[in-house]
Amino acid sequence: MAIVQWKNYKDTTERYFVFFLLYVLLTEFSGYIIPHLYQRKSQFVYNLFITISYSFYLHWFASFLKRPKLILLLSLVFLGAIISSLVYENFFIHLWGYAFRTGAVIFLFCATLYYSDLLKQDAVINYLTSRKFWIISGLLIFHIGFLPLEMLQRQKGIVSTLNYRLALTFLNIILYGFITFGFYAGSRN
Amino acid sequence: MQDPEIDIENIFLVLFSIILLVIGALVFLFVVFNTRKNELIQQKLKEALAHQEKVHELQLNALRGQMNPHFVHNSLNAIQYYIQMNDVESSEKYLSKFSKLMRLFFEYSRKKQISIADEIKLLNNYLEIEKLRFEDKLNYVIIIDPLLDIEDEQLPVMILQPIVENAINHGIFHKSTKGTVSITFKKIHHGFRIYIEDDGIGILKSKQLQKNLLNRHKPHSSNVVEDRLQLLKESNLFDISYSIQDVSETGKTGTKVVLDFNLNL
Repeated sequence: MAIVQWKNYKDTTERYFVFFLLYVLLTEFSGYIIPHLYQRKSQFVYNLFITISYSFYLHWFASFLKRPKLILLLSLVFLGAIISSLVYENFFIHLWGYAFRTGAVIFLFCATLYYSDLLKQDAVINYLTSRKFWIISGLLIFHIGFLPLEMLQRQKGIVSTLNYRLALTFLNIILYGFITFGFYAGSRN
Repeated sequence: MQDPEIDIENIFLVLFSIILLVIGALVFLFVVFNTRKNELIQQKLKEALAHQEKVHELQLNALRGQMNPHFVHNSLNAIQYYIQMNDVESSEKYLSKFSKLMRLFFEYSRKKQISIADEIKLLNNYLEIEKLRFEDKLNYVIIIDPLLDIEDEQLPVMILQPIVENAINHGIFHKSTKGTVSITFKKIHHGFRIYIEDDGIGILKSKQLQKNLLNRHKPHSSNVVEDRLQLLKESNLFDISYSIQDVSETGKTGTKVVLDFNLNL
C-alpha cells in the first residue's frame, strides 16, 4: 500500500516510511532466516532494529511536533538507554531491554503529544483520513500490548514462548493493519 | 515440563489481557476523537451560520440603502420644473415633502424593521411626491383592516416602497388615463397580507414595452425586492411570500402584488 500510494505522500513527513517498512521486512526476514541458516541467535538483528526504528520515530516526530528541544532531550535519553544496553546487555545474545523499554515509553509520550496537538486543531474533523493518526495509533496499540508482554516475558515462566508469539502476531496484525489503512485513508484525504 | 492445561489457561489469560488492553485503548482513542470532532463540527457550523447571518445583514443593509436614483432624479426635475415656471408655492411644497421623505428614508435605513404605521407614513409621503409629479394622472388609496394592529405589527424597512414605485413607473406611467394605486393591509390567521394593486397597463404589456425599448434589464426595484425577500427568508428574520399577477385577464387592466407575512417563524 505504501508503494502504491507513494505519489500521494512523497511530499509529506511520511515520505521515508516506505523505506522504513522495507527495512522492517528485511529485519523480519533476517530474524527468521539467520537461526535457520547459521544456527545462531538473531537478537542482534532486532537490537539493530530497536535502535534504528526508535531513532526513525524520533526523527519523524521532530518533523511535525514543533518541539525541537524536547525531541533533542528525548533523543539524548534514548542514546543513554542504548549505551546502557551496550554496556549491560549482550548485543548478539540478549534482546536490548533498556533500549526497547525507553524507546517505547518515549514513543508513547510523543504519541500523547501528537494526540493532544491534534485535538486542539481543526484537522481533528478529518482525523479518520489522517495518515499520521493511523500510523501512530497502530504503533500505540502495538506498544500498549507489547510493553507489558515484553516485561512479563523476561520473568521466566510467566509467559511461554507460544503465548509471546501469539500475542506478538496479534499485535503485529493490528499494527500493520492500521499502517496499511493509514496509507489507504491518507490518499482519500 | 509445564502442565498442558495450565499452559492453555495461561495462553488464554495472556491473550485475553492483551486483547482487552488493546480494545480498551482503541475504544478510548476513538471515543475521544469522535467527541472532539463532533464538538468542532458543531462549533464550525455555528461560526458559519453566524458568518452567513452577518453577510445577510450587510447585504440587507446595502439593499435597504438603495433608493432608486431615477426617483431622486425625477423628483428634483419636477422641483426644477416648478421653479422654472415660477410656481414658488408648488416648488416649496414639493421640496418640503421631498426633504421629509429623505429624512424618513435615512432614519429608517438604519433600522431592520419598522411598524406598519411607520411604513404607511413613508408610503404616504412618497405617494404625495409622485402625485405632484404625475399631477392629476395618479390617485392612490390605502386601506387598513381594523383588526390589524399597525402600531404593533412589524415589517422590513421600505419593503413596499419599491413595489409601489414599480406600480407607478411600469403600470400607471404608460397609461393614457388616470390611474390608481391601492394598498390594502389585511389581517390573516398566521400574520398579515398586503395587496398592492394598480390599474395600469399590466405587467405583461409593461414587459413587452421594455423589450421594445431594447431595455432588457429587469426593473431595478423588482430586483431589490426579490433579493431582499430571499435574504430575509434565509436569515430567518421574516418569512414573506411574494406573488405578482397580471389582472388583465379578468376584464380589467393592471397588476396585483400580494405579500404574505407569515409570523409563525
